[in-house]
Amino acid sequence: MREKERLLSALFPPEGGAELINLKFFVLDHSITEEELCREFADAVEEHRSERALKVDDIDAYIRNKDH
Amino acid sequence: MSVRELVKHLVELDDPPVSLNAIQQWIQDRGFIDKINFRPTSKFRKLGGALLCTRWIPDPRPYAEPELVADIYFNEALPPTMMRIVCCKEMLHFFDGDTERTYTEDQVSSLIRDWASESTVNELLEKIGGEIANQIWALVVLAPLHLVEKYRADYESGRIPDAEIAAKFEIPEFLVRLLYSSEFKLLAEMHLR
Repeated sequence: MREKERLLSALFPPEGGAELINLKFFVLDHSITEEELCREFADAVEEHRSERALKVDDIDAYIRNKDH
Repeated sequence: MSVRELVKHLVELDDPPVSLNAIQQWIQDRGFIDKINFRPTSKFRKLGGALLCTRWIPDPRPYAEPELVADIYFNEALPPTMMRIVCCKEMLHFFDGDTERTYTEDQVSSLIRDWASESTVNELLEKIGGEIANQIWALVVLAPLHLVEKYRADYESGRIPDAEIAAKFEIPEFLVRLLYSSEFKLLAEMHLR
């Protein structure tokens, strides 16, 4: 299963370093398949490896701005 | 230390809404986590929710102490009030005990397989039930009981509509009826004992 391997390799990089302590997720669409779940998680984790990915320091302000 | 201590701490608030920054700070100040990165993503198309990854980083920077860092990925297209629910819910996982954590490749693999496997109707209802229970946990934190009670008379008499309560607490409107149910009150009281 390609997407699952991609996700596991994003979470457990072969070069080591950070150690996973806990992983949890929250699903709204209960018809999601394993392949879709893994693809979306892997895409998000890989996207945020880039320094340019948005990291929110003030979560209240971010959500407030989304509201307007 | 648990969600209960956090709920008790919120009794000091005079008015809603509960700030997610304040929850984050309270959790960090008590050493549950060193740093929380909130990461909005457009990659959750069908999934719709959130993903929490907590990691132990042995060497975050030269000469720095090891850090426990959490990344909370959440769907940037969610309505703002739902973002508050999912971000709060994920932060509550910092109170997870050792046996509730998922941290090995095998555990992650099983968690995903179990979620996405073809389910019987009962299994599916159980999953959905678990998710609703998790949202209620977040609601107990985002809507402290003393603040819910502050508006009860006006809400129950119809002077304040659901939309206004939702706006005050910054929660989804569909959760307001739950907020004023006897079940929610019992659950919230349990956390204050």
